[in-house]
Amino acid sequence: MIFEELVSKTRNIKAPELDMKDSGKLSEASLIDQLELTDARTRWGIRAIQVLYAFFVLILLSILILSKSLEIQLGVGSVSIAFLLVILVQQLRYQKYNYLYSDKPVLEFLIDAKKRMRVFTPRTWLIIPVWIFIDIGLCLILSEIFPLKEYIVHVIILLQIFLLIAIVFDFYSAYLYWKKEHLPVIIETDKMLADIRTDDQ
Amino acid sequence: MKKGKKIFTNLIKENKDRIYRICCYYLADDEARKDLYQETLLNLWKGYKTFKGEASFSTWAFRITVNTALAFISKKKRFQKKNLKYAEVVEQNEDKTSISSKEAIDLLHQEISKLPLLDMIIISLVLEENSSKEIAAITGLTESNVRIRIHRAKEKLKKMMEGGMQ
Repeated sequence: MIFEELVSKTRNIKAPELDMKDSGKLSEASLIDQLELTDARTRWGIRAIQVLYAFFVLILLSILILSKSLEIQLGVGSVSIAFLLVILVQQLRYQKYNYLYSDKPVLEFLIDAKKRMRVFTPRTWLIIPVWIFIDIGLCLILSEIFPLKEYIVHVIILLQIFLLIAIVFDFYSAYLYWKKEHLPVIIETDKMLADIRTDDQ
Repeated sequence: MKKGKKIFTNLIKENKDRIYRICCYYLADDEARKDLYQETLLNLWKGYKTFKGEASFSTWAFRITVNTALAFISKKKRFQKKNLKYAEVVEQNEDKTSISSKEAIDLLHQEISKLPLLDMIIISLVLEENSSKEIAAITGLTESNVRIRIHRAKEKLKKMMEGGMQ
């Protein structure tokens, strides 16, 4: 069998019917419906979190306006800022989902792919202020509602060490995730780029 | 959007076999090929809303297919060379004395997977009848570079195939 003949035979290969749970084989039209549904679910999931937190912020703002205590106002304000940051984090997630990386030329795509797989992304960094603002807010609100003795306040301040540990742990888990999921991909991408560069010379 | 959906459905109908065949060059396992094909379709659908028509739909779709395949294989490790099998080949009237078409196509896929990555990408696009200009648009290489590479990769593949079929 000559090469050209074989190549022409490969064109007999047809795309398979795709199976979907509970719906058997899919026609192209229903496949698009399915794709649209998957796409919409992810988008609505992110938007739902944003709406929920926006609702919380509205409630907190009403408390802030109605409250006459400065400490409560500062506490509620602090928690509101944390919730606004959560909305921002979700917006970054939405933008990342919305952006299609794979419609770039292959070389550009590979270089970009490496850049996107950083250990700590803006989303990871935003977690720190979220934790801190919630913590400050809760401390201010609690100290105003329950007038505590001085030594209890000191104990609470000491407990902040746990917050620091939690933040360190959060970063460490982000690093472990990166090491498990992204590092092998980066190594593989480097190999691909090296492959291409070797060919290019 | 309904009209857009209809156009998209028709474009997929026209190109789905070519898209799937490109997926086949990157993965040996049927299930993995289907997963990749499905992921490619989802990416195409996601990107279709922003598709401006600067290139033809097939050029744009193949670019997404190749990039999705690269992301896919870098996650799932490189081409799984074991257990090559191919089920979707429509082939009749086999010449029993010679190597069967199915085996030959398997061999072709296997030999393509042994090529350097860029040659593999280029050959997969050449076999789907893309011009040098289209391949340049898909890969980001210059057209003259693509032409040289096509020639070299084809010669390399022919030699490998001749060796494998003997």
